[in-house]
Amino acid sequence: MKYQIAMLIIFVFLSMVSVGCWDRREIETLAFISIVGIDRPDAATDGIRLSAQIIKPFVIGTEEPGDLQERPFWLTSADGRTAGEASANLREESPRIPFWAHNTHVVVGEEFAREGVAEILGFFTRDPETRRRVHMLVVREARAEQLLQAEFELQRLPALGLERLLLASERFIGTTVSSELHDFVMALETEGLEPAVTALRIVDRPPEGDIEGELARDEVCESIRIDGTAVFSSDRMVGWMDRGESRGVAWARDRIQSTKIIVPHPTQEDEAATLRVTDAAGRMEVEVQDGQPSARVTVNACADLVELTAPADPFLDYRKWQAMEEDLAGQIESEIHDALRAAQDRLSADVFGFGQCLARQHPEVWEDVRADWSDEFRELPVQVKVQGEIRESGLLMRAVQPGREE
Amino acid sequence: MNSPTREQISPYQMLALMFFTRLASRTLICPTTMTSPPTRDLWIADAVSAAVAVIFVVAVCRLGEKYPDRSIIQYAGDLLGGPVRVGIGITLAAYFLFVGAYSARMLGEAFTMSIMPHTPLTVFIAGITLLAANAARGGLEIIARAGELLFPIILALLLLLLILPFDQVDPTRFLPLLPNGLAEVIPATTIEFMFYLEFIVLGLLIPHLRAPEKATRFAVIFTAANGLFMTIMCLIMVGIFGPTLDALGLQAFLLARMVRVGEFFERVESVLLASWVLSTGVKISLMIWGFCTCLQQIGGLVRWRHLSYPVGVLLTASSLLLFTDVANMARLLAEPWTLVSITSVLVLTALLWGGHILRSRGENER
Repeated sequence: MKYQIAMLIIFVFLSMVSVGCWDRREIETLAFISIVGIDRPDAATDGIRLSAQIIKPFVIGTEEPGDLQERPFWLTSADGRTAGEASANLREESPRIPFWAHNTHVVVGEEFAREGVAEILGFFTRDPETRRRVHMLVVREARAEQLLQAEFELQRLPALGLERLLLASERFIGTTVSSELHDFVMALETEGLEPAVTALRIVDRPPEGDIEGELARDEVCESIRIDGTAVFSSDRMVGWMDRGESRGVAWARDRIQSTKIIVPHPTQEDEAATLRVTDAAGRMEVEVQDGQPSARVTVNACADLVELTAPADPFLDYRKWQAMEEDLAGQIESEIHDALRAAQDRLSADVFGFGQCLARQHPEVWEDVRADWSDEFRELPVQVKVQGEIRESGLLMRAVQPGREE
Repeated sequence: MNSPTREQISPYQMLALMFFTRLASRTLICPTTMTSPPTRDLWIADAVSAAVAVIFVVAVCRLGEKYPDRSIIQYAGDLLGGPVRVGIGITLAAYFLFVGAYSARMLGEAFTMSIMPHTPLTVFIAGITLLAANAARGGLEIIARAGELLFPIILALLLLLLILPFDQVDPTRFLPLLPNGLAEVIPATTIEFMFYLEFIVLGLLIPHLRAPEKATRFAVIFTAANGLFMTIMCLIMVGIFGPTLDALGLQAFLLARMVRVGEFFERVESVLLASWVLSTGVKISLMIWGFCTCLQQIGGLVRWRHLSYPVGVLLTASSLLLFTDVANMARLLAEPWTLVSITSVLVLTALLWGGHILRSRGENER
């Protein structure tokens, strides 16, 4: 009996000390960071300015009409010599403890990205609170702290809005190369592959004047738009790819889930047809002949016809259907060529990962070219082969034609 | 002869104990990556070490089958004489103490590194060791029953953790395969094999087995299955983390953090934390039991259970004092300890086999 009592006392004691008294943090003492922005404090100063959107739970959790006018986040920033110090300095202003586990986006200002982001990666990958599955983003022609001021009309929390924007872009548009911190670090460490991340732009929406009426308008002056891809060479950003070029990279890297493509109308000039790509498979291969590497990109895309701007019945004429399939393939091919030109001539950055393919498929050749891969990549001949197929034509079996019954 | 020898465990319980012994050291801090082979080939080290471990396990179990009622220490005395028996007993006791100490330290460091950075290491180490010592005090049957109960649960949870992030595996990250030949993975294979030597505890378990004659069969099947499991886990980690794998302190923990299903099912690392506590708890209790059994059999003690708490205190102190920090522990395990443990355990096994062969020849000649 004495033994049982002694054990009971020990276990009660253990349960008291083992629940984490030292690491105990009550939820009401935490400041949940949802998006973080990284810039230099100013052009002449080294160090980091860390801006953070901190969620105001007491605003989100209310349904009082007056509170809907209040922004559901608090934007604050702190400077430091390192990201870690800046993070600690956030506490000088925040009465709650900055909590990183729910951060979903790391936004980097263009200027900072061009100088190199390596110095912040240590903080975001080493700290146990931060997670590798946060989105890495770069703001075009602006500072990250400016972007953190922007909001969405349809989503009160910008972090959630941005999350859904990126998700939609990845699933339905494919005009950017999205990248999580994990992907970025992987690309940075992988030989023959340069990192690429989604580029954001701040969209100005100046107020259109007072709106009379019963409904109060919560005006959003600055919003956010996805605008292509930021391309890096090692950890330094070297330039941008526009929407088409970004999609070109996405085709080759097999990142397209669904997207819409405009092709010429099957019968009428100056008119167009919209195709929705429902399935696409991209593959990159590198061959070596006489010691010289060359690459091949193969894409197979299946699409549905979703729109014709002028009446036509292409499914009645197989040749027209086939012509549209060729146009689909041609359009994809052209986007890949545009992306290749941008990567090889303008940016000199192998965002496709041809070097990585070469290293894996022909390691002995890679050993010879790895030191000068950036130059080799510029001259790398790339053959693009695309197969397009159109399967469905939506709910219509023929096009709507004005005055057809007459 | 004494209470431990009267305890009996089933082959399934033995498998569970072997599973926890191996799991605890593979999913916590992994010193293997310190040898810096190309990380994409680390899975080969897992596969090869398991294959070599099968040979080691056969050597230990076959010997045990020949002396089904005697533990490794007892038949060491029969084969090689009293002083060698004491030497082997002390070596094994020290070995179990060290294995228990680094297992407890790994758990403490893993918790401090991952979720509770401000909590002193002592709390984790002393806490888990106290629980383990309490289980060990209950005897082998208690430990085995705990292992038996937890084995399917933890295995299912781990399988889930391996399946859920599978969509992020990029098979091209395994290429090129062994560009500089197999020699490159030898250091990593050696370290992985060093952990398999913990199966020397089978030498103490076999006399307690309900069917000692089946020990080899079960142990071989399980070591191979274990090796397969570890290889698949390593393949998944290489496929996800690629060249960055060797930079990660807690690979299995970060693997669990990569789980995201349907934009809502994520943050499942607590599952891994639970499996760490349970598997390390079972392993440490087995090591404490092993240590106590060694002392009992060297000293001819009638009772050993009262030793478990003092041994727990000794293990806690060793765990705290033997290593200065996590990097020091990983280095110590990767280099000197690998050499010392492989040498001592293999020499010990070879000595016993030598003694057995000589004795068999002598008996045949007679």
